[in-house]
Amino acid sequence: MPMLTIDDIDVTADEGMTILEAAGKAGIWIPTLCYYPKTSPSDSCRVCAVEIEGIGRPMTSCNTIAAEGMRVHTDTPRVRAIREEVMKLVLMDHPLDCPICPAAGECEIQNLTYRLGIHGTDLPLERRTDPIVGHWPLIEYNPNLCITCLRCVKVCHEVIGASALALKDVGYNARIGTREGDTLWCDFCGECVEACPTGAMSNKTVKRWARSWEMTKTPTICPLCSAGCRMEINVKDGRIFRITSNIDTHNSGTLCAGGRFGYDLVHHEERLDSPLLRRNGRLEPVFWEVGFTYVAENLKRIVKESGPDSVAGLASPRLTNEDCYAFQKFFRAVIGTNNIDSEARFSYLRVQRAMELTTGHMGTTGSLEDLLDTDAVLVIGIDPLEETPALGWKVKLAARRYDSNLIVANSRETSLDPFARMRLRIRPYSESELALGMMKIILDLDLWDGKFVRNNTANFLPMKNLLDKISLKGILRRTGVTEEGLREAALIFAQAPRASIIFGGDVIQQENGLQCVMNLVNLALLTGNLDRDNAGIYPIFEKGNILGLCDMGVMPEYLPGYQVAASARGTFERVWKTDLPYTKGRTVPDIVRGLETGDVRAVYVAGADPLTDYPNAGRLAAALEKAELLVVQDIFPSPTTRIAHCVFPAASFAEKDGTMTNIEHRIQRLNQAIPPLGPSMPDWNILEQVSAAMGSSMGFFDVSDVFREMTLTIPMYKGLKFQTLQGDGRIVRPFVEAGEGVRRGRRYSFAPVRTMEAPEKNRDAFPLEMTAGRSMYHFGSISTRSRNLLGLCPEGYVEINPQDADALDIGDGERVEVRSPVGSFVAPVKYSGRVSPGMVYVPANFPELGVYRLFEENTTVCRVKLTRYGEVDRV
Amino acid sequence: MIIPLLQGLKLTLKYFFSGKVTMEYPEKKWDVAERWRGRHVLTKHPSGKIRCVACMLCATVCPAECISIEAAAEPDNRKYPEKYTLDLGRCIFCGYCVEVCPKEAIEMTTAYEISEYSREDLILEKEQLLEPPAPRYETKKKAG
Repeated sequence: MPMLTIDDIDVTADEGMTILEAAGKAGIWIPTLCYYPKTSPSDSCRVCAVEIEGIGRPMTSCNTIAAEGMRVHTDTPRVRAIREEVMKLVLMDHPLDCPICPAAGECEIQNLTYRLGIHGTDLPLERRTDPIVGHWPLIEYNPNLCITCLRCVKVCHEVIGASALALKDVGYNARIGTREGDTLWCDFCGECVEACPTGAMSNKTVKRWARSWEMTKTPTICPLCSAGCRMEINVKDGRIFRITSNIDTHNSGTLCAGGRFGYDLVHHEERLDSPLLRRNGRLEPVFWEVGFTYVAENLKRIVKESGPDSVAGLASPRLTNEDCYAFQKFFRAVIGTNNIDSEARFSYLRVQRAMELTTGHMGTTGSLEDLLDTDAVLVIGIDPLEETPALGWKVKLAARRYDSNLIVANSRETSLDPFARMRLRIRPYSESELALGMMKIILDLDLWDGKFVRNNTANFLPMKNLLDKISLKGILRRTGVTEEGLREAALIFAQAPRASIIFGGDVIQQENGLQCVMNLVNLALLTGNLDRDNAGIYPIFEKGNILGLCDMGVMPEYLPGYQVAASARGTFERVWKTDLPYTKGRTVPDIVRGLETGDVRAVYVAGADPLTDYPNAGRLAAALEKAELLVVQDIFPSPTTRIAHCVFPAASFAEKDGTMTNIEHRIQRLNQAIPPLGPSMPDWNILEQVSAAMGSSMGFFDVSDVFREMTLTIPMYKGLKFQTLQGDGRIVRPFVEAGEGVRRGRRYSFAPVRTMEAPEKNRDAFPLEMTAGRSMYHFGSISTRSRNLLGLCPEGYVEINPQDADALDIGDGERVEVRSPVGSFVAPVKYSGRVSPGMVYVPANFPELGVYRLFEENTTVCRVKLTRYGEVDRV
Repeated sequence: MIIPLLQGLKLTLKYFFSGKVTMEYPEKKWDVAERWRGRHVLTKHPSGKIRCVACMLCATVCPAECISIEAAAEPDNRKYPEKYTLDLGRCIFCGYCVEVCPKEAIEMTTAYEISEYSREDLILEKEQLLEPPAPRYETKKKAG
């Protein structure tokens, strides 16, 4: 580690540190303008010049590596003269429009001019009068304010990898433009706005503007996807004006379109603004107390008439941990039933089950940061940039900057394909076969980690027997990849010292989700990629708090913290001062069956929209309509609230305190930025009020009461304090020790399973295969209330290969009816080379399409046929 | 002894025939100095548009925190105040807002007749501030 002196202060710099960073470590200020910590230095402004003894000319400190024995001076007359000259050159043509410039108050030119004491420039030059680039969505570029520091270009290229921006022209005419032509190939993350030291790149959506010093910044986390990025909500007069981010966070202040621009859904005019009660067939606004009494009396009546098991509850991964905890306590302690479930039944719980059996983990085994240093990444059945952009960017960065080998296996082209070393276009449903095929090749070539397998795993022999039985030819036929492709992918994965597997919706939500996840875990075990640093398994889920939802035990089989009633009953009965129900409880399919037979009479839905988010929504809708009492608490009207008997308006993420758990099991604080809009209440409070109206309060008066109780009952929360979870939060991973069960005392276990072949029925009547996924700019259905995001992706669509479209004679943008054996919807067609011929792809984010109505139970793949709808209607 | 009496009477008569010191307000009104810091007015461009660009500097500098602005932008991104509220009940007439304004969009008039019967009436909205203050308490009665 080099020792150097800066302004006669001894500094020990880390290896490879620049002088600027070393000075920062010693607390010495060096002015910077084009330097941005997230990117490589571009060394273009020269304002950070310092003098080094023994070197004749001044050196820029942002890109000069600190060396042993260097003597640096940062405040000599010569350096000061340079700084002054640089600032005068910058101010030469920079318009002094500070009163109307959106950056004023946080403008780095303003701050530097003030701090360096520069009172104007004597260099005469006319102001630039270039036209403002205002036709890009969400982002605006004012070339007159630009100082061509290249921060935006670099952050777009190096951090995001979109490379949408580029420097155009040379010399004095150099300005920022788009990479090619006039099209902006942008992810709309808004990083350029955050990086810009001036107001050149600005957020176009801030129509009601406020000055930076007027807004209070509340640090909180983004609830939209499961990456849980930290961000700051900027509020003035109880209204959210914009979202900014802080660079000292676990996501380095990088946000995606949803985080940076999706905030406007909070102030959407469709927000529920009053409790609603169904009277004479119509939902009418009532006072809270009326709603509480109605729900409490009816719940009590139904419990009295048919027992507590005639009531069921569905929660949502949008709720905070506290909301989820209050929800399950309401059902277990106040009503007395285990009939609670959520949409995690179709995603996370399969992963949890598969991983608990094989590894004891419950989700990701490493942190997102670890992905940067992994040597090979297998991304299967997911486009990470669509589901969790934060993770997608990490993978991109790993592939581009750190040379990790990226293998992308997907049924359609993903946005990571250009960065992948190996692309496998597999058939939908065949992810499990692909994993088996890779394992077979790895075993054949003897590339498996024998030491790890012998020492740490159980059930290897059955696994080997299974693999010996399978023929490679069959796998190739079912997956649709070439033998060379599969062989190379297996080689890359097995030969990497540290390899990670990322999988998502397509893997988890198919009918064979459980087996599919098991086979991916098998692959990781065979190559010994579980106990190493920077190697692991990363299941990805779409919605914010799905891990927290299950940690809090919103499912029939586990109490909070994955504790089973047999062993943890005592703790809970002591804390809750009531008996726990002994019944098994109903899962979502059981609740649906119960509703159909009349065994379940009342359903309480918290935050969820089962008719949009659950598979086979058609059957569910018919079942829910039969419910005698349907209570929904939500922030927006949804297809479910439309058939409800009582609707409670809940507070959104910006209006409540709480904690959320992200994909790496990081528990973070959600902070209240604005008071609840209208009469809305946080979800836990609504549940508390209902239980109080039923005569047995849960004893929650503040959100910290809920958290305190969580620390008492959940072992992994022991020792956590609500107040100290601020900042980056705490990573707490649940882990189940291997007992005498499946893992036979070993740390890990193989799970030799095969999957059934994709059903080929109705092949002629329904010629196309449809998969449902996400739109890049939407997160669940909640973000379709954000005007800003709707500007990027206004409505649902059907992606189809032009080849198929030609055969069907459907033009780009025409509306088509998509029909499966169980349902249909109408949407415009979008030509796309990203889907293979014979396939269509639909984003499931839009509630009005009701994409899930097309699926039979438990899957996101089905066969469909397309017919033109009505007359030609160009979009 | 008559001389001091006459001296006194002289003074009395001098003031008796000189001009009046008091004024019969409101029939007659004082002219105040041009720099008088009276009620504010928001100025307009010759085109009739409001000059204010909603830079919030007046709201920021105001020591009494009596100005609040809600800003908006036109399609060409020109900013303007959607709402401009000034609470005369809190205003201390220091004139900082006028001094700080980069666009000379807020000025102080010489109007000093600004009392009202309720505090609510002292809160002025943008539309009121755009109009120059009308002279008040006019009377038909001739002064004299």
